[in-house]
Amino acid sequence: MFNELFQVLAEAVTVQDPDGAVVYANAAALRYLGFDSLEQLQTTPGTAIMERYLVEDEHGVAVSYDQLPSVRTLRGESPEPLLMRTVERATGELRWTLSKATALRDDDGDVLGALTVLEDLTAVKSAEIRTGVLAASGRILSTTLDYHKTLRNVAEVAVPSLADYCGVDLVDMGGLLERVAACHRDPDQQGLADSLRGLPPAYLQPLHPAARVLASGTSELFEEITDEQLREMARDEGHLQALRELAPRSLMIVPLRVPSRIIGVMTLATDASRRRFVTDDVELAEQLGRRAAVAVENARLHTKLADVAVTLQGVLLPRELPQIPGWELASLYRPAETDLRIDVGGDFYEFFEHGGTWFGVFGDVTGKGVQAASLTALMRTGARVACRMEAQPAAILSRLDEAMAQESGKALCTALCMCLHRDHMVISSAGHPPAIIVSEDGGLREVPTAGPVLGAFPDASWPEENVPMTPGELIVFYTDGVIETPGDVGRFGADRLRELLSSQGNASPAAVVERLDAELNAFTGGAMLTDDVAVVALRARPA
Amino acid sequence: MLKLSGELDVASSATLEQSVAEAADYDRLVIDLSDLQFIDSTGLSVLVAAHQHELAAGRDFCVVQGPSQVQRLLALTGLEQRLTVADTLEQLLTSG
Repeated sequence: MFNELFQVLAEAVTVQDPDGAVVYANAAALRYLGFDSLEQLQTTPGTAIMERYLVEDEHGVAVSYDQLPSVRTLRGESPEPLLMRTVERATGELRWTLSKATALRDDDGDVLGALTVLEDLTAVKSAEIRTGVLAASGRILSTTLDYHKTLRNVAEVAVPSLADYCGVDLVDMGGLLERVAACHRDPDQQGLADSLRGLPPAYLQPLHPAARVLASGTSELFEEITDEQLREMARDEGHLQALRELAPRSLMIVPLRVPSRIIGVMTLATDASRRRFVTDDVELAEQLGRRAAVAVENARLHTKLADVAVTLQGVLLPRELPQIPGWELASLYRPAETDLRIDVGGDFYEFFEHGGTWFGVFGDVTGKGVQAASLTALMRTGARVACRMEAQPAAILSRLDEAMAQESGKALCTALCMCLHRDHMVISSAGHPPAIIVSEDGGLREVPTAGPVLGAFPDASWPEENVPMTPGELIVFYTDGVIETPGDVGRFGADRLRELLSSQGNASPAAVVERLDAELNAFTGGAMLTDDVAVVALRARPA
Repeated sequence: MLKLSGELDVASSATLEQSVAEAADYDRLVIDLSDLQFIDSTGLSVLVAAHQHELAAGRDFCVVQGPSQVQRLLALTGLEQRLTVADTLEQLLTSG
């Protein structure tokens, strides 16, 4: 009856006598162990069966015959079930087997034999490894924007769960293939892996399997790689020697693919484990490759964007203030935070000399970030060019208005344009908050009166104001970002600005700007700015 | 008629732009700023764009004046002189 019961069980069941000889095996056990008949199994010693496989526990530690649960049970021990990772040497087939052994005892408690059940957990463990590899890749790919490091991490995820060796190559700008990461399961072989990584970038012959993968986007699988195939992959004798030393059994090359193209290949190989890759392994490697490729592409884009940002900032930020003979100047420029980490904004200023006289333009293009900043470049350069045609603040604003109306769509610009003299200033406003003149005793004046904003009205013109000034008086230009800066108690406001400036009659422009910056910081409680802020303070040095 | 309240700035201007674009079948567009607490330059640019758009379409465009901050900015930027600005909605309606 037991026989019939065991025969229909899916699990493999064997019974051994106290000497280890197999007295019974069900059909599943014969199948599992690769025998056609019980007699065949009975005439093959257990150690010889064991020899057919590479057997490890789940931590990758070799399992010897003496450690098998059945053998330990016959020795009188009560072993825990043992999960074994086996690779059949002949075929390279990987299996996960849970072995449970129970002692059969007589009435006196003496061991009569061992009943062993072998459960095939290959499907379960493969799924677990697959999930583990993908989960680990998700974690590591999102941790760094240094893509060389990302790829080293990917290689380390692939080894040893998926392969004994993993190398990652990227196509560089010139179409050469460069090995950027390599990892080997065996620390003693890591040196060899590193030496492969140290090879200079190479152009691959079209017949090289990696070149085929790059061209077709289709993975290549060599279940049992031959020396002939190693030769095809080798660049030279030294390389071939290294490949032979690695002695791969099974090898696959999968593409690193982003939507638009293939950026490299990942090579995975087995050696010591003697495992043979199957199509499921290729699929998992391809998934890992896709994720790595996206991470690399993102990291590269980020790096490029950072380069672009630096270049743009160079063009779009206000230039450093020039040295104007007889004048002291200081400025504050704080662009609002934007999504792109490009610290430019719509506020601008520019001071330039024409025919021995100094001019300045100070303003604010509506909007924020790069878009607004690109128009500030137009305004700054436009003012310089316009000044050469007609060196009058109102005329300069008129040219800037034309440029703004042509270029900007619906963006507007407010600006002050001024011509600096020691005893007076000619100043014109295009809808910009007035400049504040601070006398040495703290008295305040605001100039000039308003004019139309730039880029809004086709028939506009700008009044010019002649403002007498005594050397020693401080003049402060600011953008609305200063007075509109929000804090816990409303907005910073013009009153607060005036009050602050009124106390700064004797301070240097640099000290005034520094003080204002500190006050703004205190007002916002150190929060990010929501609008651009710019300030320029200047004072004619007393003769 | 579009009546605005709260703050018209970088964050909220897109909504007004959308509303102006969606308004149809009328011969006069009124934007009422009387309940508006704050306007910035981006908000102004939407008013200017509406002004230019209505002008091109041959329609009337009027603004009802807002509180002091709004008034100050309309005056400063020259919009007050160039747009039709009424002190109250009633004034606008009685003037026809």
